[in-house]
Amino acid sequence: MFARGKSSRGEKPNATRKMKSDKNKKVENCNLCGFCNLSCPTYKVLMKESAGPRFKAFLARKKDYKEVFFLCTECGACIQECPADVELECLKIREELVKNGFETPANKVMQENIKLYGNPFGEIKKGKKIKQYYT
Amino acid sequence: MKKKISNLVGSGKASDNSVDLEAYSYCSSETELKPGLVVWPQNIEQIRRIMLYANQSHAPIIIRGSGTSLVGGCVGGNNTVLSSEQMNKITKLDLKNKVIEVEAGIRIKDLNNALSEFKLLFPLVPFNPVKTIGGMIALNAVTKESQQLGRISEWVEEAEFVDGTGKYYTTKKKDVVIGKEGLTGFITRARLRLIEPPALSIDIFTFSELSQLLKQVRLLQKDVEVYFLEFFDKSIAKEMGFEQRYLLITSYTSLKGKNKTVLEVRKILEKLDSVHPLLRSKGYYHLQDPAVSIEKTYDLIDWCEKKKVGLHGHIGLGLFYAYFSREDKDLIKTFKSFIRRINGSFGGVFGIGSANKDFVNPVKKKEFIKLKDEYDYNNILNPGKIINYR
Repeated sequence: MFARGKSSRGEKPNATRKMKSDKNKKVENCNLCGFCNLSCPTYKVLMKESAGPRFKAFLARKKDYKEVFFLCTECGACIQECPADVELECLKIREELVKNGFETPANKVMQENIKLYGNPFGEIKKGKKIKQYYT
Repeated sequence: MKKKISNLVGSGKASDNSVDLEAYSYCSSETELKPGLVVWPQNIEQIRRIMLYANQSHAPIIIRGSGTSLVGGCVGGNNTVLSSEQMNKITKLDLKNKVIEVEAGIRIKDLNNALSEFKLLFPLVPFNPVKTIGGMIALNAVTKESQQLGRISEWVEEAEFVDGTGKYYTTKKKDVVIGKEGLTGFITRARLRLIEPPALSIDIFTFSELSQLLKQVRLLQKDVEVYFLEFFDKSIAKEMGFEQRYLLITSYTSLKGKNKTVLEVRKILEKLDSVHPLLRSKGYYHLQDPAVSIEKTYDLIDWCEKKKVGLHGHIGLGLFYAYFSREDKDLIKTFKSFIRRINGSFGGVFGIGSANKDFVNPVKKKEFIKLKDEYDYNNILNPGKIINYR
């Protein structure tokens, strides 16, 4: 699901970390060690447990899907750091949330913007570039 | 309560939102206790004010770093969780004297990542490098490197803290908080000694007989160049990709080990780092940290082997990690009785928290009560952990 490049340690995980097992991807295998929080960009900005991947794994184990699953950039850094090789599938969980009628207001606005203006930010004001809306 | 604390720390830095409360209801021990409020203080003055308010309103506080306690040390039902997560800055780096000043919430891995630029290292690296410096000081942490370097207390020059009554201590009182698991104060800042990363070499020994292994351990314990001495039982050795024999991985701060190239050493260190998470991810959810004397090591290894309990540890220090599955709750009780019978103890690595309270000896209990009387007489900090005060 995610691109698996080099981790923040600059290593190719599957080549050097031989203790990992391919079968070990289920979220039930998460032991709440918190390695994933180390590299998560969302956690690094907000610095709250509720924003980090460990909390998402804690909820996913119980199949208790909440709004926090939208707090994820889908970068896959948590997967790279996870010593137990757990893959937190936020996209699938979001899909399920949407199917069950749960969507964040921001997501709805973004969808509308894409439909109306062809971009997620809404109408581009004269003299402004898209970049200025997200930097 | 939330309104008052929010006024002290600023908006967005205190929450009683159900999502935040759930996020702070667990730690790596899998103990679940939902707090009543979560606070992220930003500076010492805020912590001091929170303590003063908690004393007035008799509101218990649970201190939390990165939530990696394995003994339920950082969770508390209906209490206020005071998280050091957002106090994670490096405040001063003295390259000449190899000393660093950091806020308590900085995580070991982040600290060493920042130090690598200066070719320096905080040498005590726990198996879970997500731990914060504050958490490690509160536990007086021991790591595999402690074989040569001792506990973290030897690497902390100063530890600043706010005690349970709201008093702020800057220097010369570090012993009040080191190893006290947050019962006496909230550690705010620490001054740490650093080293240049040592050039290591590693030997890997395997044994079919326990007696041979212990003979080798006794020999290596006398060697001052030994940096760490890690034991793995037969089953874990197999999981790690070695022969199914007792495994002893020995590192030296000289080049006398057979594995001496950077690549060889790194590869072995990575294997060591991945043991805990790998075993836990394979269903060994319950982890115990027995401490026994070298004379009783034979009994411990033998017992674990017979009961199919995974065991590894810092054998030179007599500190071990025993792995149990989710279904082994009764076996854990038997194990605890066994450890008591061979005059062993628990809490040497993970701390006492709420899980190992039965193993606190009376002398230590008295010491804690004395400290509580002086630094937290209203029993605001981490109530119910280690001792039942008042």
